[in-house]
Formats: sequence, C-alpha cells, structure tokens
Amino acid sequence: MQQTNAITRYLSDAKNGDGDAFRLVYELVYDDLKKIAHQRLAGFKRGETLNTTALVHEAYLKLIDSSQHDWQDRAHFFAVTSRAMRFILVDYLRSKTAQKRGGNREDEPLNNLALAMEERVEDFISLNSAIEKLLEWNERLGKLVEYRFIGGMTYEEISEVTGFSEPTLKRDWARARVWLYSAMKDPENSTD
Amino acid sequence: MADFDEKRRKQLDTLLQQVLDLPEQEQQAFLKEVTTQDPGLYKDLKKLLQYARESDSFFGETLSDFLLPLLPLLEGDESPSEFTFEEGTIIGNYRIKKLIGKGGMGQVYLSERNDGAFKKEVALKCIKKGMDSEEILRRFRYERQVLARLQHPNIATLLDGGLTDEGQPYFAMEFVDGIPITDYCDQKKLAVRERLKLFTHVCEAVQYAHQQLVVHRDLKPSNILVTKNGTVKLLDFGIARILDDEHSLFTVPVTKAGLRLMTPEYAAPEQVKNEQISTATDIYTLGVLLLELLTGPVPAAIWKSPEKPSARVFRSLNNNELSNDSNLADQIAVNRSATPKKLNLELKGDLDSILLTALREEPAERFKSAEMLKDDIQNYLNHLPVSARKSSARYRIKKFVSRHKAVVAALGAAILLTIVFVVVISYQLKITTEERDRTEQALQRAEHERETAEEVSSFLENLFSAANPMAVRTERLDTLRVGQLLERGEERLYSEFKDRPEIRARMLVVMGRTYRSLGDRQKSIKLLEDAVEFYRNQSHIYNDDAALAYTTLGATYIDVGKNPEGEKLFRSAYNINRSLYSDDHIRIISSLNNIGSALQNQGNFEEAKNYYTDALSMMRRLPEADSTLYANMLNTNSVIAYRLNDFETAIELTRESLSINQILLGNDHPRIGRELNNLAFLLDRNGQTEESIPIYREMLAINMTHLNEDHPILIASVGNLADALSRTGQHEEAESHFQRAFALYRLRPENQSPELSVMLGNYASMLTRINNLTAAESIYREALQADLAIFGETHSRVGILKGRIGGILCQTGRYADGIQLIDEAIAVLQSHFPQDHPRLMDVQNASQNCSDND
Repeated sequence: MQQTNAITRYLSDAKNGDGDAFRLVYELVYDDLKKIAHQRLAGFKRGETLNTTALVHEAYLKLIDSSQHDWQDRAHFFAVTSRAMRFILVDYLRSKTAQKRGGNREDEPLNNLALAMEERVEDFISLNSAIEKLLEWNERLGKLVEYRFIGGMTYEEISEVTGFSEPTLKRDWARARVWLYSAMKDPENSTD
Repeated sequence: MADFDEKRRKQLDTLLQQVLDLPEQEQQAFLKEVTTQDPGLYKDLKKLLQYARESDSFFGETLSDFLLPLLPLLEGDESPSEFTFEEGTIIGNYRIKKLIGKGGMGQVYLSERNDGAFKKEVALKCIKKGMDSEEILRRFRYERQVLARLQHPNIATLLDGGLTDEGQPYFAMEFVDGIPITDYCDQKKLAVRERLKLFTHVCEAVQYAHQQLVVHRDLKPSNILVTKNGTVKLLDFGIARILDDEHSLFTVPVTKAGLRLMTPEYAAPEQVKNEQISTATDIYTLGVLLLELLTGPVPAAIWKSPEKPSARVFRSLNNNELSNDSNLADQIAVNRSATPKKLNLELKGDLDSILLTALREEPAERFKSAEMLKDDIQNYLNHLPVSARKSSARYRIKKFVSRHKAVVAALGAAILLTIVFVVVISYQLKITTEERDRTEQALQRAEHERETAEEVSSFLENLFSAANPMAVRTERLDTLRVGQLLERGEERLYSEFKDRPEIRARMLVVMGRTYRSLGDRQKSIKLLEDAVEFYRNQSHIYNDDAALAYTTLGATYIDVGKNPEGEKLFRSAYNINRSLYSDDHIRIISSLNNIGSALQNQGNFEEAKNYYTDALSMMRRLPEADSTLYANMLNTNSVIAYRLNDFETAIELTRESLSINQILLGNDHPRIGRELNNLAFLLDRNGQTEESIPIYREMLAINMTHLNEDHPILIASVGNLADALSRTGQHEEAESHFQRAFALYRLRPENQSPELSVMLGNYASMLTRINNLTAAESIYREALQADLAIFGETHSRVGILKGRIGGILCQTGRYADGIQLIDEAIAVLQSHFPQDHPRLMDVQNASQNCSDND
C-alpha cells in the first residue's frame, strides 16, 4: 500500500507538471505492469483480442485506489504506462519469436502462417524503433503515438495530459502516422 | 526519416501540416504550387502523402488492429485439424446425414429430426472442432441471433438451436434444396426479364433484412439459392452485421495480413478499403449480382473501371473476333435466350443506368435502399420511367471529368474553334438588392452626405442593371443613349466622388460590368482596373464589393485572352470569399468554378477539372441548388468535356443547361443564344455539321435581337455559321458570312481579339480547302500575329498556326522556310500534347513530307 500511496502522490505531482514525478511513477509501475502483462499475454486464447488498453486498465485498478481518483488521474496514469507497455511488449514478442525459432526442428520448415506471424513481429519491432526515432526527432508526436496507439488513450484523455486541443491532436496524429510509417519504410530501420 | 536531414524534415513537416488540411483533390495543386522551384521537394512530399494513405490501413487505429494476426503465434500451436461428424451422429434432436457445406469456422450438415415427431430435413450448423475460441463462439452465437431476427419467405429460417454433448453451440435452419441463382437462371435459359423478376425477390429479402438492421455483407450466388419451384432463399448470415448496436464491435477487422472474410468479386469498395459498412454495402453487392445475372461472371473490383453493362456485352462480342474464345458472348446470350446484339440492346439505357447507380463507388450515390433498386427494376419491367436514369445525367457531370484523366484535347479537323463559355458572375445580379442594402448600411455609418450617396447609388444601379442585356430581357438597347449616360456617370465619378473612394469604386464596378455586357471590353477593363486598384490599396477592405470587383475584372481579362491575369484575380476573389463565407457558400462555389474556367482556358485541364469537381460537389450539398449557377456549371463542364474530346457528354451537358435556361429565361434570351451556339458547335465538331447549321441560324436570330451588331458574341456567331457552311461545301454563303463578320469586327475599338483570330483561322482553312493558298497564307499570318500578341510564343494556338503556315509553304515549294516553321510548331506543340497525339503527329508528318521534297 505504501507503493500505491507513492504512485498516487507522484501522479498528482506529474499532473502539475513535474517531469521527475512522471519518471518516478514510471519506475514504480514498470515491474507490476510487466507482471500483469506477462500473465495476460501467456494466457492468450486463439481468437481473443489483444487489448493493451485492458492491460493498462487492469494495472490501474491494481495499483491505484481508483475510488479516490478521477478520470484525469487515470489519464495521467495511462500516459505513464503506455511507454512501459511498449517496452514490455517488445521484449515479450522478441523472446517469443526467439523461442519459436529455437524450438523449430531443422526438417520442419515454418509454414506460411507462421511466416506471416514472424513478419508481423518484425513489423512490431520495427514499429517500436520507429517510435523511438520519432520521439528523438519530435517528442510531442512520439508521445502521441505511445498514448494513442499503445495506451489506447482517447483524445480527451490525451488532451488532459498534454493540454493540446482535440483538433490539434487529431492533426498531430495524422502527421505522426506519416512520419512513423516513413521511419518504418526507411531501409536503415529494418536492420534494427 | 533518415532520408531527410533535419532541415528538410522540418520543411516537409510544415508543408505536410498544410497539405493534410486540404481536401485530397486539392493536395496535388497545392504541392505543385509550393514546390515549383524544387522538384526534389515535390517528390519527397508526394512520397509522404503516399505514406499518409498507406499508413491508414497499415496501422489501423489501435495496437489490437495491428497485432491481430499475431495471436495464434502468442498462443503457439498449429492449425486445427479438420473434423467431421459421422453419419448417424446425434446432435440434440437431430441425426446427421451428411456434410453439405463448410466455411471458415463452421460446418453445415444435412440432418433430420431424431425424435420422429415429423420427418423434416434441416441444415444443421456446427462449429468446427478446434475452432471454439471465444471470438468464434461469439460470432457463431451472433449469427444465430441475427437469424432469429429474420422471418421472411426469401430467407432461410432459423428453426432451433442448442448445445452438443461437448457443450458446443449448434443451430438448425430450414434446409434449402436449391441451386445458386446464377446456375438456376442459366439452366433454365431465363431471359433478361425473367432474371429481373427473380432478382426482385432477392431485393425484397435484402430490404427486409435491412429493415431489421441486418447487413448481410456476403451476398453472392452461392448464398442465394433458388428451389425447384422457383423460390429464392437467402442463406449464410455468417459475417452479417447488426447495425448500431453493441455487437458492431465484434466485426472482424480487415488487416494487412489479409484476414478478409468477404468474397472479392462481390466486395464493395468500402469493404476493400476497410471503411464504414452500411446497408449501401449490400446494395453494391446486389448490383454485382445483377450484373452477373445479366452479363455473365464479373471480375473483382469492377467499380475501379466503371463501364456500361451494355458495353460489357458488346466488348466481349468484339473480343470474340480477335480471340479463339469465340463462343463466350454467344454462350452468355444463349443462356439468356437472346443473341449478343439483342442483349446489348436490351441492356442499353435503363438497365445500364440502374446497374451503374447500384455500382457507384461512393455508398451515398447508390440506390438509397434495396427497395428503391427493386422499384426501379419494376419500373423497367412495367415500361415506366426509371429513376436511375434521371440521377445519372447529373451524376455524370460530377464523374465524367475524372474519367478522362490524362487525355489532352484534340482540336478537331478544322484547326480552331469558338465556343463561348460563361464566367459565372451572373449570380450577383440576383442578389443585388441584398448587396445594396449592405452597402447602404455601411454608407449610413458614414454620416455625411448619406442621402446623396444612397440616391446616386440606387440611381446608377437601376440604370445600369437595366442596361445589362444579360440581366433583364429587353429589346436591344439604345447603345448611344446608354453610352452617353455611362460617360456622364464616369465624369461625375471622377469629379464629384473623389473624396468618397468607396462609393466610387463600387460604381466603377457597376459601370465596368455594364460596359462588359455591352461588349466594350477596353472601357470595362479601364474602369475595373481602377476599382481593383482601390481595393488592393485598402488592405482592410475585405468585403463583397472587393470580391465582385476582382471577379468582374477577371472575367473581362479572360474575354480578351489574359487568362493568367484572370486566374489571379479569381483567386483573390476566392480568398476574400473564403474569409467571408462558410465552405459551401454559393460564392465560394462560383469562385472555384471561375478559377477552373481560367485554368481551363490556359489549357490546364487537369487542374481545372479539380476545381470543377469541388464546385459541383459543393453545389450538390446545398439545400437549394441555384439553377442559374448550376446551368453555368453545366456550361463550363461541357466545355471541358469538349476539350477532353468527349463530344457525347459535352452535347448532353449543353442540352441540359439549354433546357434549364429555357425554363428560367424563356426562348428569347441572349443566354439561349450562347447555349445554342455551343450546342451547334459541338454537334458540328462531332461530325453532325449538317444538323448544326439550322441551330447556328436560330442562334444568330436570337443574338441579333439582343446584341449590338459589333458585340463580339454576335460576331463570333456569324463566324461560326460561316465555318460550318464552309465545311459542308457551301463556300459561297460561307464567304459572305465571313466577310460580314470581319466587317463587323472593324467597327470594334480593338483590332485583335481571341475570337477574331479564331475566325481568321477558320477562314484561312476554307481558303486552303478551295485551294486559294496565297490568300490562306496571309490570313493565317494575320491570325498568328494576333495570337502571338495575345497569348505569347508558347500557346498551343501559335503552334497550330505555325504548322499550318509551314504546310502551305511546303506545298508551294518554299521548303526551307516551311521546315523551319514546322519545327517551331513541333517545339511548341510538344509541350502541350503527348507524343502520339494526332495534332502533333499531323505536324510531324507535314514535316516529313516537306523534308522528302526538299
């Protein structure tokens, strides 16, 4: 519970613009989020939808006493966790494909379906490094991608966290996707 | 991103923000404009825009969309094996007889009741073994729920449902002992009318489903069976969707990895593009089905190349002569108890329209409901007018421009043309009162001399509006009287209103407009330039008056061939209007249309077409269409259709705008004169010259009662008649009309104009035809001088005329000079026409002939 209190306190500092507090919340939630995410990812059933928002939400419910908080707090929490979520997913998918490859017998070639999956993991990993590049070049756009794409945050929530109006965010989103896609198309990126 | 350095990225990002705010059809023009100096920048931006489009479907909106195909990997086992139930297996109250169908997730067994209550065969649908994921179970339950909603004689009924011993859900449906509708029709060799009747039952079933808010999404022959007694039954609502309820979340997203569930041939464009699905999606698919019923199997994505269904039959008929597949068209026709020719005739017209309406790419353009589609077919069967027919003329205007992408105009057999197009400023006449009220309010605020100002303002306006032959239907004006009045007014403006420049500028515009209507372009330009200069120096004046001044001067510049200048002014007017009005205001629309006209006049059809498309689509969104403006837009669009060599469309559009104007203005009106001129001209160029001559004569009669004899439009109409006569071999009468036109032209203040050089060119062509080469050459040269002065060295007309003169020089033995001129002509024309364009090839052939003789 001590931890919960700390998160709560940092979160309200973060809400008031304290950048350090943001980092501290991140550090506090990362391990727990990872635990939750791995549990959920490992228990996946065919046909289920991979719902990262639900993951983050679950973490929120576990780590924060939601009865004491309003949706603005939740928005800030989501903002913090969407980055954590990204790292967790990349690590998880990397290790998964590595296992798959390792477990594959020599005489048993990957079928087409498996190949398509592999490709998709590559896609995700290159998406991840594209997000990194975007963050480096234009942090505002990069964060927007994390919030929206990984954290599944609504424009309203992002607006609460960033202070930008929703129309501006929508325009930014259009730009962000272009640059993101362009970074993914960039041949230098594929070796990443 | 590493493609660009930091600076470039910033630059691109800024442009990207601007360009993403624009509608897609304007993006191209914007890109060209901002990157004229820098082709590299243009390339980069284009690439980014491409990315913008691709990224949409690549990412989807959420991570779930993106990662969906990954899920089996996360789970980590191989694909499930195919399991089927043995004959005799008991499931619930049913005994399995045999497997009769399987889909992605389910299997369908022919079964019968096990409890002996009654011997009824049913179709039992179960989930495939191993496919019992939550998502699939959900979809299965969903289908059952959809079916439970539907009780219709043309839809296979849900009878019962339950769980197997293993706890898997199943349901029993009415067993339909039938064959796919297309096979049924072919086996019975049903004729077109019989097929249509059958199809109306399909429409009824779909309409019923839609009323229950169910969209089928997978209509295709194998899901539409016909029983022995001829009853249509719709099956398989496996990927159907209930609109507007919580279940809409369960639809499976279409992803890059291609988890497409629909059948490509029947998939509507919005399904392919993964856009919003609605009942219109089924309408499209019904269209594909109907097309297949009428003309045989259909390729995927036919919306990408819209073609009249009748033409489709006709084409396969023609292809037969070239290919070995000689009996395909015959077979299609035989199956319909017809011959290919008869089939083609039967489809032409009404059925074409119905099909094209159902198959529109934009959902909103299709039939609004399956019932309307059915009604239209019923109308056809009952020999009543078909509603799709009416909408398609209007639709075509919007569409035809985009059909002719890179086609550049071929300028017919005779080299030059006169076609009058109307710059849209006439609407302003209709709202003069409103404008005047607003001006007067402004004037009232300037308290001093208020009364005088009002008096002058309304006096002049009334006077000049009456003097505008296009605004009011009057007998021909006594030009002298009006001219005197105008001159007096002008003097007063420059003396008395010196201290009140706003009023003066406004009056200048009214007077300039009047001079323009009377055909005195130089005077008009002088006054209007004065007014425009005033507004330009008053940067804070951003109002209707300024916009009107810019528009009117722009239109007059275009009259005298100063197209780029006209365009600039139209753009300024557009910017002002944009700051004053909302996006779809009639003034914005007419501004766009005007810019389009100016671009078109400069030969920039591609861009012009974009402006017209915008203007028309805005026009269509207005609650009340302004018929005058609409007629004007038809007019401009017909001109562009003509330029793009689509005579049929141009003629049709002109006939439509003519009939609108006849209703609005009566038969005896100068506008009607213009429309008739255009109609005749187009018929003429379409090879129907004989037909055009009486129309030219009618037009001339109207123009003579309304226009002064030195009015450029009147003169042009004499010239056009002369040209048509000459090309039907009536050289003598043609000669006299030409001479009359030139004589009238001499009455005019200017000695050069675009119309005059057109007439000169046409006259020279006639002289060439009657082999008077010496005279032809000198007339051509006169036209060339005029065009050089008006349009400059690089205009296509200049190229054409040089080619003509070069040709004559060669014919008369002056090869060196001839070749030189022809080379110059080629250089000019190459920048206007593609390499294989007949216009260019003509000149190149001439060059060849000339060199051979050299």
